[in-house]
Amino acid sequence: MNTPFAPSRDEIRARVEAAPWGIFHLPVDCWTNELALVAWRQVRFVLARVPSDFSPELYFETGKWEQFLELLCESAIIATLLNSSNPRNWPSVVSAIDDHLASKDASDKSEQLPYFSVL
Amino acid sequence: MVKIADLEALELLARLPDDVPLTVSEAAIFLRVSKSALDKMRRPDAANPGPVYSQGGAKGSSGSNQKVVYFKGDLKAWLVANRCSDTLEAAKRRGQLFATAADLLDPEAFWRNTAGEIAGLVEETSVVQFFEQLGQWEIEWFALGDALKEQWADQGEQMRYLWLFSSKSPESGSLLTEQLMRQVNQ
Repeated sequence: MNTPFAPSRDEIRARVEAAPWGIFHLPVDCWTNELALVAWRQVRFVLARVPSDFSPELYFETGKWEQFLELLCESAIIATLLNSSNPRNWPSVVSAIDDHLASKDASDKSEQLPYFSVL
Repeated sequence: MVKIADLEALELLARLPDDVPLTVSEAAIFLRVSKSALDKMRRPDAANPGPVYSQGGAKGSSGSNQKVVYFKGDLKAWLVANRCSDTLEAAKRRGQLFATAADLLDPEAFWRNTAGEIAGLVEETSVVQFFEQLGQWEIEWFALGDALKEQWADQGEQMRYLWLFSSKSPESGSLLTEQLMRQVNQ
């Protein structure tokens, strides 16, 4: 009997690290924020350099790009706001996402350090 | 998809004077639309009326059993008036050209400008631009992945194609992205 192919989380992560664009070929239910962050390194490089009339969503299955941004930002509202203007100034969008990720990272770290919160 | 024979035919058509009559097939090559699309454009109820044509005699006349001819000057005027600026249309054309990962391996015609840079896909050039560039720029045939390794005149266009390439072929696209990231950081 054939068993369904179900790679482990580590295998999926290794795959996305080896080929970050491969995340868009994985089923969305395999996606995590961590995987989106791994893929973002390459995606941001290209996105920051495309012309303003570029529509990233045209190249993926319907809704996949929006879901990627939502998972990356861990906020549907922020993802929608960043993705909504048209034509889009992509270097600014990338920069805004980077700022959001940096502030989220800083706030996550401060939550993990109890000594900071009591100071 | 653009064919070498069509490009050669376009080059020949470019040298003809504007008042030379062209058959429907020649006009279709010139406009880079299918013959059936051009036939539909001649219908009285056509949503997108095509260029002025002549059927059996005087320009603009029609007669159902007469041979249809187009004049190159009329085709050029129609192209200028209907120049495709719709980026969604351009994206659709790119999508059709590179519909699958296997299509990425097919050689496509790219412009190489006088500075030696890749200046885009010939397929995406309007016919008006095509004639302007013909004779000044070279046409070279590359698989898209190989074209992306070259120096491009417009980095935005290079990245647009890199996005398309990576969306269809993530492994090769990721390698190529990494390579370009290293070049930028050097």
